[in-house]
Amino acid sequence: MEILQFAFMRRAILVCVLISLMVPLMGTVIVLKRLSTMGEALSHTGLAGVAIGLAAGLNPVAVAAVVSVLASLAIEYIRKAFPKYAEIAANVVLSAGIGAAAIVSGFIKNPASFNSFLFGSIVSISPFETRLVIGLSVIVIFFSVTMYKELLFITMDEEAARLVGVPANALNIIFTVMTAVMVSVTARTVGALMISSLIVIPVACALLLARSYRQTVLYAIGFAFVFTLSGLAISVAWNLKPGGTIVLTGVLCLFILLAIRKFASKK
Amino acid sequence: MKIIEVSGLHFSYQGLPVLCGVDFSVSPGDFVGVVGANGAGKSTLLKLIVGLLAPDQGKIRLFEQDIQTFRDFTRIAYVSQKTRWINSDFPANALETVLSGFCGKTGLFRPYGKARKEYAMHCLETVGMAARAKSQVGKMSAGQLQRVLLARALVNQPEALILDEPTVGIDAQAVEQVCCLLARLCRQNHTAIVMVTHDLPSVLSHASHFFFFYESGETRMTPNQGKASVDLYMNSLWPHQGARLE
Repeated sequence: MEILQFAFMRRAILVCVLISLMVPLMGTVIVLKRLSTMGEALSHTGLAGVAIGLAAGLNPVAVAAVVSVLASLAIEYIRKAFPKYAEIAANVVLSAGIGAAAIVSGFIKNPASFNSFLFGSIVSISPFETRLVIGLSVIVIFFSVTMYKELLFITMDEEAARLVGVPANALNIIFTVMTAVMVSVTARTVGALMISSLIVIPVACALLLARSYRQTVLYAIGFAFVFTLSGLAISVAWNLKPGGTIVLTGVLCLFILLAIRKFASKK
Repeated sequence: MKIIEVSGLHFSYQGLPVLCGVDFSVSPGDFVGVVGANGAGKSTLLKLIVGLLAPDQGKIRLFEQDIQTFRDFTRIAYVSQKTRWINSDFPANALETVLSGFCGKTGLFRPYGKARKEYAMHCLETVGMAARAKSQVGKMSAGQLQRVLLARALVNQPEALILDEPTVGIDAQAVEQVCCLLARLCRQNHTAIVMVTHDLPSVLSHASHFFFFYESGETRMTPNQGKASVDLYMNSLWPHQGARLE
């Protein structure tokens, strides 16, 4: 417990808690709407924002948030041209994001700082970034909790939702923007390359156990808590990279659950 | 009062005419079976009535108000051909699904509340699915899912129910259950029912009117005349064979 004496560790735990709440709340909708490639695309364009921020001497998390939001609007725009192929829009933006990140990263003087965004570095978060993460994640959590019933309905049956007067268009745009904010906040901690796993794995585990939508959301939050906090603890104890440890903890848990389920169904 | 009044309705998909001058009206307590061949425009007509599509020409009036100014779409409930494409692994249970029908009326930022939950349970009871309230919709049979979606449509106590092939893919017994339920709503609450179906025999004993879509593009509304309606229906599907049989 003496590790908690360090301010950086307390900040890391606080950020983990916020992320474990925010990511599954949004992730449930992302997974059920089959939009997980969008998370991937936004995290890579977020990297372009990080590179721009580092090269221009601005705060990388803030620039990443702005660039991801712009990218999310670009995805919505491209998707309207190919309504039946959601992956096209996501992959175009993903490619553009990686391309831009690769070019701009050539202008960064300290490549180590850029790498910390690829694989995350939760323990090196500055107090300013902590405040930014807290502010942005509180906004995203507030949105997904207060819009819970509308998000459920749109995810399940958008046409019927429109007919009873749910403002589906506006909610879809806000949701995409919130996803972009979430991704840029999470990039700092688990790393841009691993965000989509953090979005998908807790929800995947929850889907194996839950018997309702509400349970799916609550279980996913529970799993995310376990993954991030135990991943963080393991990484500190064995001196591993926290982002990778968190994700691998989740993957291991998913395989254990799958195995248990298979075993249980054979009985 | 007329619940639905359609006159001189024209509609085309990307230049291909689907509906050419459709006239159609529904009063409270009517049970209209909409029948005709595939691709005749039956589903299109329903989508126009609930405002999911906009007509090229003609007028649609709901509750004696032009559809362009009509806002209270909770008075008309629409059940689409959902069972075919609904995500078969969606984790929501039946009660959550039915409650979402209240989404528009409850408004943003507010929970549904106890009274709405009780009414949602009542609607599940009406369709005979109260015992499955906690079952996930993804794990239900097509007939059960259809009844849950019907319960969702009922939560706002609609004065008209617009149903697009609610009996597709469900067994004969379940079809009869759904039809009897609709007929009961029609009789007891004077709910107007407009139902597209390919299964004329199943609605023959319940419908008050039929609306035929002929191959030629003509449409016609007639009262239910039993056997004579069946002949008209056969003619609408196979006009040439029908003529030869006579």
